[in-house]
Amino acid sequence: MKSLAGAQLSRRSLLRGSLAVGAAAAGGELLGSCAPGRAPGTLLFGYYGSADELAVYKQVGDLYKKKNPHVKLEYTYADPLGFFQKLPLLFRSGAAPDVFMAAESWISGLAQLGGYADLRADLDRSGISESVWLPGALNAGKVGGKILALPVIVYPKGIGYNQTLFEKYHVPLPDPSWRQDDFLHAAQTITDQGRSDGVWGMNNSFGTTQPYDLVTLYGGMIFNYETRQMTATEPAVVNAVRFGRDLMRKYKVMPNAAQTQALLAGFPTGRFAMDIFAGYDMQPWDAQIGNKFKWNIAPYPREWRGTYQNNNVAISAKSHNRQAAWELAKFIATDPDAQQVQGQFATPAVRTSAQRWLTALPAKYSRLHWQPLLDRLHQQEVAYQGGEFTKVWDVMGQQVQSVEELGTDPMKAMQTVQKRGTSILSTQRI
Amino acid sequence: MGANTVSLWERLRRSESFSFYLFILPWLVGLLGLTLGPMLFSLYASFTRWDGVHSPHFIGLTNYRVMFTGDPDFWPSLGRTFYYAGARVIGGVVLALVLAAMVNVKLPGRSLFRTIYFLPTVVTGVPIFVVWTWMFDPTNGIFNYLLGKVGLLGPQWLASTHWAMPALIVMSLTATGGAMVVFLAGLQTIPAELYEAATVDGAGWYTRFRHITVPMLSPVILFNVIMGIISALQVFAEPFVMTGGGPVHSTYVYGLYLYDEAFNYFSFGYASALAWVLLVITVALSGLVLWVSRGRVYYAGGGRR
Amino acid sequence: MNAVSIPATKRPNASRPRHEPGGRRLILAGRRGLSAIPLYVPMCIAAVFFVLPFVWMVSGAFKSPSEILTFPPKLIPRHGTTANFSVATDTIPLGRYFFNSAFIAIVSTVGAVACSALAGFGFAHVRGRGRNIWFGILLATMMIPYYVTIIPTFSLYESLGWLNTYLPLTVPAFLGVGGGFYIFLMRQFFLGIPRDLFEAARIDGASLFRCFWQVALPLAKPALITVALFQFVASWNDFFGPLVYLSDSKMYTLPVAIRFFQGLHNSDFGPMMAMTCLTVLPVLLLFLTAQRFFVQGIATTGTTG
Repeated sequence: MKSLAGAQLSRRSLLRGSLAVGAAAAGGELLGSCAPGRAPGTLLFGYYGSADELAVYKQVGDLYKKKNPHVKLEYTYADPLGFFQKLPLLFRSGAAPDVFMAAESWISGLAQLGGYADLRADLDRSGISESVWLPGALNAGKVGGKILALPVIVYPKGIGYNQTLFEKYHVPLPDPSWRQDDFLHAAQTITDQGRSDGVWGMNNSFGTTQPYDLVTLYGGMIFNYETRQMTATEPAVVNAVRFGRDLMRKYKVMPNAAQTQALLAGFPTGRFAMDIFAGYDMQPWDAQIGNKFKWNIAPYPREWRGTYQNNNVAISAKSHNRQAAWELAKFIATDPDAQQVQGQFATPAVRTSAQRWLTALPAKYSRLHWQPLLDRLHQQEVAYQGGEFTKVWDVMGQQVQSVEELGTDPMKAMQTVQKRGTSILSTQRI
Repeated sequence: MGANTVSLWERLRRSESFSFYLFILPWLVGLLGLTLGPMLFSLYASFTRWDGVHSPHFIGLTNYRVMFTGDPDFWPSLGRTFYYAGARVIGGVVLALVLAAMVNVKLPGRSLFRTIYFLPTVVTGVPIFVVWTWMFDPTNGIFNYLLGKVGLLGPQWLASTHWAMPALIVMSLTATGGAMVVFLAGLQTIPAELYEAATVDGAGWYTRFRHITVPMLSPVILFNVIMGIISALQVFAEPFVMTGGGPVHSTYVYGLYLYDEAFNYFSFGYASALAWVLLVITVALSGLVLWVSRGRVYYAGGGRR
Repeated sequence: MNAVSIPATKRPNASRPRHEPGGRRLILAGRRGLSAIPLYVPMCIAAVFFVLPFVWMVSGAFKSPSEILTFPPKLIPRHGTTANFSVATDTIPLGRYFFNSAFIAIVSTVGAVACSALAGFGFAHVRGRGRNIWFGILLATMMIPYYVTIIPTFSLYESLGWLNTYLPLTVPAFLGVGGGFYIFLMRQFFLGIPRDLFEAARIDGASLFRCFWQVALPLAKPALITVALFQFVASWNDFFGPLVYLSDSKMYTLPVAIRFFQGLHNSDFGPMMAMTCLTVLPVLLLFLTAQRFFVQGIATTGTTG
């Protein structure tokens, strides 16, 4: 029986093959399971970011090891979203890194899980006051009366403008004292004259993709984080949403979601006269724009506030090496050398380091007008999130989309947010 | 032990039931040891209020009550998921069957086609979703560019509340290579004599397809439909990366909702309840499909389900 | 069509044309002649559609940041660059991640194939008490979304001490965890094997296991290869498991590494695409080789398609 013999032959080799693999597997498992757990007294430093950012944080860690040779330090890292997804699991099991980086939205975002240690006492003991950092830098770490994280770098916020387009259509360049009317005038002029080139006055990077910056435009906030009261119908919020809609539908200087590049290319395509700029755009924009056009940054118009974004360092509440963890966190957030290393991609949070950073920037970055943006840092609102608050933000985002895309009346939309938000926030949480 | 009596153990050992359990032993160990525990825990969690970190707090049926009566997101997201799943399963299985049949014909270059059709199943993940987002871009994307060349104004795709879901469905159809491969394997087991006999009787390719291929493949079709339903109802990654559930929640499917409740709103209890409701729905749908297929699925082995 | 069961042939003259009872002769010639050419048209159209994202991704891998999204969309970059590949290989220990991915994928594939073959056969041809109930449970385990059981599963592995090892990524495959699909698939295939073959073997005194080993397995080669392929791809592309269970970055796998190019605010698309290309290559090669075994599987079972 030819086929049976053939089957037997392949069966034998299959058997041999799987035995071999099985043996290898067993050996590998043995090796794998011998991975040592964290040795006592070892600090675990967790961080995230793109490949370049990871290298920077490792540099900081190595710097600390060099200055403190007796310290045992280990690293763990992941991509940003992955790290964020892992944190709750790690908080639960108590295996969170002793010291870890956290974006501003993650501080309030994960605060209710109880994973962050309160650093107020440590700050007092070390004699560090808030004035060490730029004004407003510590705001994201202040949650519920505690201080859950220290600022490490900040992302100043403002308007990035396409100087080539401004000059082409003879519009005066934005300057630190400009107001909303100036902004509107610039946007309208450029959109009108640039229509045939498919040019827009302003990119739609607030509203449809990120409701935070729109809501806080006039300093409003949709809820009070401390009292858990919804404030979505207050004039500052409604007017801001209305303004966003008007930019799109009345003044027609901003494309709707469908007309936008949405998440991807945006300002670097050269089709937008202005866009929201945040510190983390510095390097990618430069890489993507290259020499295509001239561009620079200006602070928000006088009337605007916007949201505060930065990166922070926190300590795990269940850390076994509290004292050592504090030393490392303090180092990352205040040591001038550590600050300088981290200045490769963003503005250091320590006041003196920030000044030094401004002077040491390479030409392609130092030509940007940073100072006015840094001056306005303290005015920016922290968009508190976390648990049910995140859900309220999602409702808000949905309503903003509805206003901009479907033309819903802003007041009605905010009333919807108010109603749903109230019911969400009234649900008791642990 | 007498000569005529066989010990209970001997009888047990020789019984077919015993052998059955031996065959499924590895799976059983995995089920009882690794799967059942977490599943039962999540069932318990569905009756609690739990943020995933602190201890769960028992609240009885509250989650389920809120879900069915007080949650403005539950029914719409379920409806959207049905819409997506229905289109994807029907389109996907039909397409996979057609592709498999085409690729099975002994034409030169067919292994190249086979590879191409299977490619999206292999090349999956965020980078590909990003590429699809580029392709669907209303202004710069290749689809609207080509449509423009033919004189048609392309829709806004992922930015339109009407076209976002169809865009996702269209994208999911290219992932049907997996089902195609399963069909291919099944096609190999159809004896050629059947086709030859039919050709002699004068049957054309369509008749051959309809009266030989489809019935002989019916167990495999059933399999692919059920697997398709199960995975389509759970869809998560595509809308998560490409639309974030938008615009205006038009692609906010059940999977996204569950993820949000679990990982963003820290309502693990509620998320568990959502998961179990989905399980019940999936079981019901699969049961329905199985029941409907009872008279229609042909097993060459002579056995019936 | 009536249920004629033509057993997969072990008859000596299987390879020669058989004569129908009615005495008709078979005409084999001309069956696959010119009539097959129109088939190329739909096949090519479908192929373009399937391969488009991949082509776009490869194109993106060679573009500089300023060229990633331009209008009109350009397939061939004006200033092609391999910088993305060097960025990818320089910032990531590609070789080590490759080895990690391969190790996990191969081991889990062996496990999945073994477990699903055994269990699939058990469900298909071995009668046992409660078999249908267990099968129902099997289907149910596939219907729970992954994210919901992740916390209790994570706690389970933590209490077993398996965190930061490859155990959670390999052992479950041997125990059928997450393998409901494979068991279901094997069962359907085994059901397609005619019972008379087994009965013939059992009459000859073969145990159930020998039926499995010598009769069923060789005939199910295409199905086995399908399972292996799917499991390999699933394991190769899995990012969530390695992300969550591993904290030692030396043990990470390729999909986890790709995500390093997705920033919190901005993504680095060029290297992301480049790295995806590199990650995809091995699986593609695997599929191309697996295809040959597909064909071989056809030959040894004695049936043709």
